[in-house]
Amino acid sequence: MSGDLQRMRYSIESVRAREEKLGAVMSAMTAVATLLALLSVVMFLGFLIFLGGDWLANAQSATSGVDQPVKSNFEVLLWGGAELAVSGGVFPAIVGTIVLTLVMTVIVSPLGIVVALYLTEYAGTGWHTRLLRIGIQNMAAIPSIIYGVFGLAFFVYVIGGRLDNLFFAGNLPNPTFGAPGLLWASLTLAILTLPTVIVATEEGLLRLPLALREGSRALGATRSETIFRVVLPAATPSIMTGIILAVARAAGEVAPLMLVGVVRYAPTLPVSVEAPFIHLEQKFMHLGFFVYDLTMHAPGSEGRVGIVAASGLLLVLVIATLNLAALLLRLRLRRTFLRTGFE
Amino acid sequence: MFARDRRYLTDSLFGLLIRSTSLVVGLLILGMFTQMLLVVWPMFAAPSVSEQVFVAGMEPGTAAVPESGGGENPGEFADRPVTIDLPRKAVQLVLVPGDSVIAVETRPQLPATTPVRRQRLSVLEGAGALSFAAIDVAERYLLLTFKSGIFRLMSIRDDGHLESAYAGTLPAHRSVRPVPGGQSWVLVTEDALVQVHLVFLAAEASVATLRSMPVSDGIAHASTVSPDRRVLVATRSGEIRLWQLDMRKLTALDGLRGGARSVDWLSPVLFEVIYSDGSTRYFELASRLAEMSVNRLFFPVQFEGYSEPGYYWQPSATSDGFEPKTSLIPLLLGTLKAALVGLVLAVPVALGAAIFVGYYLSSRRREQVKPFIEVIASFPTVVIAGLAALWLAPRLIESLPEIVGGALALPILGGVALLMAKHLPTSVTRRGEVKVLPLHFLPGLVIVILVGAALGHWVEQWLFEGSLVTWLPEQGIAVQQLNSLLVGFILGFAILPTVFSLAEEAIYEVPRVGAAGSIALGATPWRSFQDVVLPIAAPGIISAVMLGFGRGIGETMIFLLLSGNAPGTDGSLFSGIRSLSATLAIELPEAAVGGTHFRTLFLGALILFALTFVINTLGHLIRNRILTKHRVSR
Amino acid sequence: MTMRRAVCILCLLPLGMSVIAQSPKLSIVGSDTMAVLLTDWSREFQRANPDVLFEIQGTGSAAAPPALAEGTVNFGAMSRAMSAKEISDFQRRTGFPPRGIQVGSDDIAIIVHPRNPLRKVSRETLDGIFSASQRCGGVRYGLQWSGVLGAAQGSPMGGVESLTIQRYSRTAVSGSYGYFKNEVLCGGDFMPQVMELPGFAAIVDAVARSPGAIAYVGAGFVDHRVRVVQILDDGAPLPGAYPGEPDYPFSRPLFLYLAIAPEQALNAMECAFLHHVTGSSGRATLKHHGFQTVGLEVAEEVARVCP
Repeated sequence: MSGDLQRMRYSIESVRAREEKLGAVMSAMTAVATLLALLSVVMFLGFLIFLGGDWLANAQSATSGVDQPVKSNFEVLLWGGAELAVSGGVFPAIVGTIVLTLVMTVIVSPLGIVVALYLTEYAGTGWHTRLLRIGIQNMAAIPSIIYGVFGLAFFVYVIGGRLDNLFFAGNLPNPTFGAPGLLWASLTLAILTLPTVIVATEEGLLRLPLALREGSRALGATRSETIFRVVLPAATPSIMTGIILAVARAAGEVAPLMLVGVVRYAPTLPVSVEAPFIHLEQKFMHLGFFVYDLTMHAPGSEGRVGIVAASGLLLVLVIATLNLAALLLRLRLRRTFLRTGFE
Repeated sequence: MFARDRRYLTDSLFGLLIRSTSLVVGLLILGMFTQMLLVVWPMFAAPSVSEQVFVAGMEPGTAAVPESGGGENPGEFADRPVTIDLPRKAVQLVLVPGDSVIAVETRPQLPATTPVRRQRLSVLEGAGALSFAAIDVAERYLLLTFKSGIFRLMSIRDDGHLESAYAGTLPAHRSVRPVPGGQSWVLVTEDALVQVHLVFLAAEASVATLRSMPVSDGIAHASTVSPDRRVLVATRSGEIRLWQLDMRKLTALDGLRGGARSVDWLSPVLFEVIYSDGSTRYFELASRLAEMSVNRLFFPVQFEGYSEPGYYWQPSATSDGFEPKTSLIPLLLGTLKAALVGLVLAVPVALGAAIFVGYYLSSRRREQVKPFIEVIASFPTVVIAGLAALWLAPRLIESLPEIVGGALALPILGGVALLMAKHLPTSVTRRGEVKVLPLHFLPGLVIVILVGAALGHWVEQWLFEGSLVTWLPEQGIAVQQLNSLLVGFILGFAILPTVFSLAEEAIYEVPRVGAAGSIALGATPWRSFQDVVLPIAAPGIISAVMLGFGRGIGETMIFLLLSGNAPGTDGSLFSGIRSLSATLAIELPEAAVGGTHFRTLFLGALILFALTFVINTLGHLIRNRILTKHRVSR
Repeated sequence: MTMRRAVCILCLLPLGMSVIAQSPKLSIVGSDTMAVLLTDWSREFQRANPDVLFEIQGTGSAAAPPALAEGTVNFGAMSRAMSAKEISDFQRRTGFPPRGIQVGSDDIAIIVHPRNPLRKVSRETLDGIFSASQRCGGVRYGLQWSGVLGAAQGSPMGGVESLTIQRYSRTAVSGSYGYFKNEVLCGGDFMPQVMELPGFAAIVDAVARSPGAIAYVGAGFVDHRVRVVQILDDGAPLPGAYPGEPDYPFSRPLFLYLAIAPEQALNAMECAFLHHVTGSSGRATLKHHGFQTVGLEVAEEVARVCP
C-alpha cells in the first residue's frame, strides 16, 4: 500500500518537475523575446543618435573657404550649405511640416469630435452604427498611400478643378487649387488621422458616467447644452490626446504627401506676415520628404548617412515631443478632473 | 417661451449638424472606394462610337490631318520601288522588285561621300509577289515578306550590304500592316488577322506568329494599325469590327450601318467607312483609352519581341509605339512576399513579448515596459528605411551568413532547450518561471548571438566554399543588395509594435480567474497560460497577426527605399521585389491623367485597398466578438 | 458657450484662410537629373530677385509635359526631347506645340564597382545585360558576371566573375530611363531583374557598395567610389570614349520647355530667369555640376521668346 502511494507521489513529483522545467524554459523564452524587442528599439535609437549626433557635433572644415566663417553642421543642416546637396537646408522643411500639421489639426479636430459625439451621444446600436464603427476602425488601417491616391484623384482633380472653374477662372489654364498643394495635403492628412481623433475622443466620452448626462438633462438642459457644458469639458483631456496623437502620426507620414503637394525645394515659406498669412495653394517642403530626398537624391559620399540620421533625429524628436506632450497633457488634465470629481 | 424655443431649435440644429457630418464621414469611406472604382471602370468598357458629320468639302482626308493614322504604307510593294531610311547607318535602301531578282540600291544619305552600291537578291522559287519590306529598330535586319507567306530576313552590314540570314514561312496573306514600334506587323489573310513579330534569341533574329484573330465571315478590307494598336476590319458581310491587338476578341461596333466595303483610320480615333454604294461616312471612337482585359492584368501574356509569355510590368511609354505591359502579378507577389517575410520575423518576437508583458509581468511593470516597445510605432518609417538603405543594406548582404547565424541562434537554442526541457537539471530551473524583466539575461543573449554569427561564418567557410554570395548564384539564385529579406527585416521591425500591442491586449484582457484557479489546483503558471488563457486569447492573437500583415502590405517608404523596385516574379529571398504601394508612389505622379497607365495604377490602389479592408475587417470582427464575450463573462 | 465659439472658429478658420494673394511665382517640374542644378540656379536668381517664389519638383522628365499642358508650371525641365506622343498630347490640350530651349547636355555614364575588371563595354553587351528583348543585338547572359567578363576583356577577375549581375536603373519617370531604353536597348524592355531606384545618388551608393553592380547614371553624379566604363561605339575608334569626351555616344540634351503659343511671349520674370540660366553665371553652374554647356546660339532662341 505504502509502495503504491510512494509510486504515485513519485510520478506526481516527476510530472510536477517536468511541468516546472517546461514553464521555466517557456517563460525564459518569452522574456528573451521581450528583451529582443527592447534591444531593437535601443539599437535603432542608438544608431540614430550616434550617427546623427556624430555628424552634428563635427564642425565643417574641409569645404568652407578661408574667408567664410566656419559653420557648425547644425547650422548647415538648418540653413543649407554646399555640403548639403538639397541646397535650402532643413528650416523651410520644418516650417512646412508645422504649418501642414496645424492646418490639418484645424480640419480634423471638429470633424473627429463631431463623429465621436454622434457615435456616443446620438447613434443607437443599429446596424448602420456598427457599419460606421467598422468603417472607422478600417480607416485607421488603410495604407497611407491609398489616402494619397484618393487625395490626388478627388481633392486635387475633382474638387480643386471645380474650385478653379468657379472662383479662379481668371487664372486658368494655370490652376490655383487644381494642382497639388498645402490645402489638399492637409485635407488628405486630416482624413488619414480622423480615426485617431475619433477613437480617442470616443474613449473619453464613454468613460464619463451616464449619471453626468442624466443629471444635466434632468435639470432641463437640452442635449446640445449637455454636450457643450458638461460632456465636452469633461472629455477635453481625451480629445486633446487624440488630436496630439493625430499630429504625431501626421508628422511622420511621407508617402501620401508625395502625391499631393510636397516638393524637394520650395524655400519660400507657406506663411507670411501680410494677409492672408498662409498660402494654401502653395507647394511646400516637409521634414520626412527631406529625409527621403537626402537618402535617394543628394549626390555625395559616405557622409550622407550622417546627414540623413541627423535630420531623421530631428523628425523623431519633433514626434517624440508631441507624443510626450500628449502623455503629459493626459496626466495633468486627468488629475484636474479627478479633483473635480469626474472620472 | 421664445428663449425656450430658441434653445430647442439650437438643439435640433446641432443634432442635425452632428448627424449629417457623421453621415458625410461615413460616406467618405464609401466615397474612396467609389472614386477609385469610377477611375478604374472606363478601362474595362468596350469602345463606343459616334458618327461625325462634316460639311461638304470639309471632310477630313481631303485636308491634311495632323495625326494621320495611315493612308500611305511605306514598306508595302505596290508597283513602285520601296525606299527605306536607315538613320543609324546614314544610308537609304531602295528595293526594286523584278521577276526573279530584287534590285537593291544602297544610297548614302547627305553628304554623299560614299558611292551608291548595287546588289541583286535572288527570289526563292514559288515565293510569289513581294508583299512587304521592313527593318528592325537597330537596323540590323531587313525583312522581306512574300504574299505566299514565305519571308526572308537579311542582315544588313554597316555599309548597307545585305546578307541572307534566315528564311521561313508565315501564313499566306493579301497585305501587311505595320504596327507602331517597328517590331511587329499584322498580316491580313482571307479570314484572319495575324500579328507576327521579330524575336531575338541569342542575338539571332527570327519572325514568328504572335497572335491571330480569326474573322468568321471573311475579311473584305482591313485598316492600318492606329497608334493605339487598333485595327478596323470590314468583313465580307459588310460589317465593321475592331481588333485591339492585345485583346482576344473582335469588338463589333454599334451604330454603324451594314454594307461597308472598306474602312480606314484618319486619326487615332476618327475613321472613314466607304460603303458599297459609294458613299463615305465618318465615325469617331469615344476615347483613345485602350481596353483592358483581365488576361493582361493577371495572366501570362506574350508581348512583341518576347520569346515566351510571362508576367511583365513595364507600363509607361518612353517612346512612340511602345506596347505597355501591365501585369499586376509581380507587384502583388512582391508585396505579399516581403510582408510574409516581415511577419515570419516579427511574429515570434512580438508574440513572445506579448505573452511575457501581458501575462507574466505585474500590472505596474507592464505599464512601464509596454510603451518602450510601442514607441516603435511612432518612428517615421522614412527614417527607419533611410537609415537601413544607407547603413544596413550593404552590410546585410556582405555578412549574410553571420547575420543569419546570429538571427537563428536564439530560436535554435530555444528549440533545443524546449526539446531537452525534461532533462534539464533542477538546478537550472530552480528559480522557477521568469516574472520580472531579466536584464541579467542581456550579456548571455549577446554572447549567444555572437556565437551564432561565428557559427554562421564557419558554416559559410565549410559548406558554401567560403562565400555565400558567390555560391548562391552558382545554384541559380540571384543575390541582390536590395532584396526581400532586407525589406522583410525592416518591415518586421515596423510591424512589431502592431502585433505586439494587439496580442498583448488580447492576453491581458483575459480574466485571471481561470488562470488563478488552475494555479491553485497545482498547475504551473505556464500550464495555466497554455491551457486556460491561450485558448481564450487565441482569436485575439490571430487578429493581431492579421492586422500586422495588413499593416505590412500597405507600407510604402520601406518598400520604396529598400526593395529595389524590380518587378521580378521569382520566389528567391535574395532578389529585389516591387510592391504595389511603392509603384503607386513612383508612377502615379508621372502618369498622364485618365490614361491606361493612370487607371491601371488606380486598379492597383483599389486592390491594395480591398486587400487591407478585408484583412482588417476580418481581424476586427474576430476581435470584437472576443471582447464582447469577455464583457459578458465578467 | 466658449466651447461653442471655439468650435465655430475652428470650423471657420479654413474658410478664412482660403483667401489667396497672388505673388510672383516660378514653378518648375521635371527632370531629377536637373533638380540640383535647378535649385542652384534658383538660389542664384533669388539673390537678385528676392521676392520671387520658387517651387521645384524633381520627380522625372515624364512629369513635365502633363504639368506644362495643365498650366501648373512655368517651365518643364526635361533631360530628353519630348516624344511625339507627349507633343501630340500637349497639343491636344493646349492647341499649340510646346517650345523647348536646350540649355545644356548631360552624358550618361556606365559605372561599375572599382573591383570589377570590366573596362570597356560595347552597346551589344549593354543590351545583353539590361534588355529583356535584346533588340540591339545583345546576348542574354547568365546570372553571374562570368559570361559578360568572358566576352569582354580583363585578366584578373577580382572574384567578381562569380557574383550576381546586379543591374540598377532609374525609375520609369526619369528622362535617363527613357534615353537609355531608346538609345541602348533600341526601344526594348528592361529585364524584370533590373532594380529601379528613384535617384542617381542612391544608385551610385548601391554600385559603390556591391562589387557585382552595374548601372547607368548622369555623369555629374559619378564620384571616386565607382568606376566609369568606356563605351565602344559601333564606328568609333577603338580606345572607346569616356563621358565628357566629344565623341561619347550617350549624350542627351537638357531642355527647359515652355507652354506658350507661337505669337505669345514670356512674362518678364520668366524671361529674367531664362536670361540668368543661359548667361555666364548660369553656364558656370551648369559646368560645376558636371554637365556640358551648349553653344551661344541658345541666346537667339531665348531672344525669340523674350523679345
